[in-house]
Amino acid sequence: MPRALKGALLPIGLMLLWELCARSGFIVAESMSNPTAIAHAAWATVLDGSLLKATRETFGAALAGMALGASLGIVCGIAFGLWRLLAALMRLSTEALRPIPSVALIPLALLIYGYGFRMEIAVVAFASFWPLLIITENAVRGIEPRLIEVSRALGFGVVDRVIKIVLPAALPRVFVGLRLAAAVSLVVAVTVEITANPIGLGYALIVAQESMKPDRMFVFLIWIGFLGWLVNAVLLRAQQRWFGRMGNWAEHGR
Amino acid sequence: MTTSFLAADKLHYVVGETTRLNILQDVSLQVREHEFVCIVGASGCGKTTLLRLLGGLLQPTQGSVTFRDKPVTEPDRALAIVFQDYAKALLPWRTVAGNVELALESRRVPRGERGEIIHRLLGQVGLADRADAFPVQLSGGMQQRLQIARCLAQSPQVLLMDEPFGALDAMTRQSLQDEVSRLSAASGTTVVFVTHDLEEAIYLGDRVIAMESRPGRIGEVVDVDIPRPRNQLTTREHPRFLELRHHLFNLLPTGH
Repeated sequence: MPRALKGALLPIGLMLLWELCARSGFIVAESMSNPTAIAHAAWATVLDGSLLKATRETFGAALAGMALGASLGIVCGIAFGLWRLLAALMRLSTEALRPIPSVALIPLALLIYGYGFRMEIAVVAFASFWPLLIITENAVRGIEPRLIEVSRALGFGVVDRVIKIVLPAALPRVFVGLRLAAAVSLVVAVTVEITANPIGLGYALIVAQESMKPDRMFVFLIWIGFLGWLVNAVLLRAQQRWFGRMGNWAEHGR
Repeated sequence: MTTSFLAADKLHYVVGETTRLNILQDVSLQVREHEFVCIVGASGCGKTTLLRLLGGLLQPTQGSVTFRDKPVTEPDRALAIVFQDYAKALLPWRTVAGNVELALESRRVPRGERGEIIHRLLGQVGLADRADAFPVQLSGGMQQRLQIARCLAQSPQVLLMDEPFGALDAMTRQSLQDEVSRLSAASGTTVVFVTHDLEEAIYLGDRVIAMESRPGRIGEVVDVDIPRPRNQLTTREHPRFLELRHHLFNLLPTGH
């Protein structure tokens, strides 16, 4: 606890300084607001339900997009990892598509789906597909060859081999990919909302800015940062809990 | 013509496309049912390759492996392979019981019957009280016992063992030698046992096949006419044991 306390000293000090500067007129409250005003605005967004609504929209789109992109990435990663020929056939296509920044797809997604959840989900799915494809493919390649021989010796077919050997063996590393994709999908969802889609936290942020409400803008800004931290913390905890006891088999062996 | 059990017929195994390297050359052998055959040779003589060919993990360049007169073109559950590197052959995410269950799943043993079989097999290898442990929590000897239990769960007719005790300390090795001897005698399972340890080969085998190196080929085959059950102390002092050791020692190149 004392360590967490030490870590909190700097932010608390800065907040006090900020409050002090704002009250003394050293910085202009119209653009920077101050912690007390932000706290009031935060309470207001909770009371009028706008915080919850925006959070649900952003989370919903990010989660749906990630579920779609990540599962496609895992499936393709396993297939590419198991069958070299398939990987070779797909290499050029994936290398050509991968460098496209996901936000560059916003105009295309808008043309196809218009405003709303579907376009946001599509862009997030594209963004979270790549980390899982690459990490899963490498994880499958890196599986202890002896385990593959064990599954051959036991006469498992492709489905059993994937479910009983390949997937669990690759899982610790796939999970790292999921953490990466979770962070990416939140960033991309908010970006889509700021630039195009009139829903969620990103849109709330831009509306607050346009209506000259810096206190409200800061509420959403801080909240987005907190959500990103929370998602990673939860996934990290889950990772330690699920893979800690058995020894992290992705790390040793090869 | 009598039917043969497990047989290798004029096996050649060559690797490399441009610089062709003969790993095995003209290897033929017959393994009889219920027999304990030891294949001994220096490292690099191709004995592991031979075992992998017998188990169907590899296909010969020329020649054929047959099991009950059927060609072995892929791994067969009747031929269980015990790998040397037991730590890599176990599923680290499954418990001891779960690792044994894997083999039962491959045989499609109904879920309700598995617990009893697992309990019996773990009892046979002395791991009954470690059923819920994960492999990483076991010693090397216990991990190898677990792999053997999993292979037995395949209910194999042949155990193909690739230097199974090579990485274990002397004490553990001796007790595992006796356990495998006892298990194979009790169940009538045929064993093909690869080792670089001449004394281990004589101690365990009904027959010892000595291999020569570069290219790997059969050197000599001797029958081990020493009574069973064998004993770590008296068998190793048996005049016939010493005689065979002397005889085979001269056959194998340095390193042994």
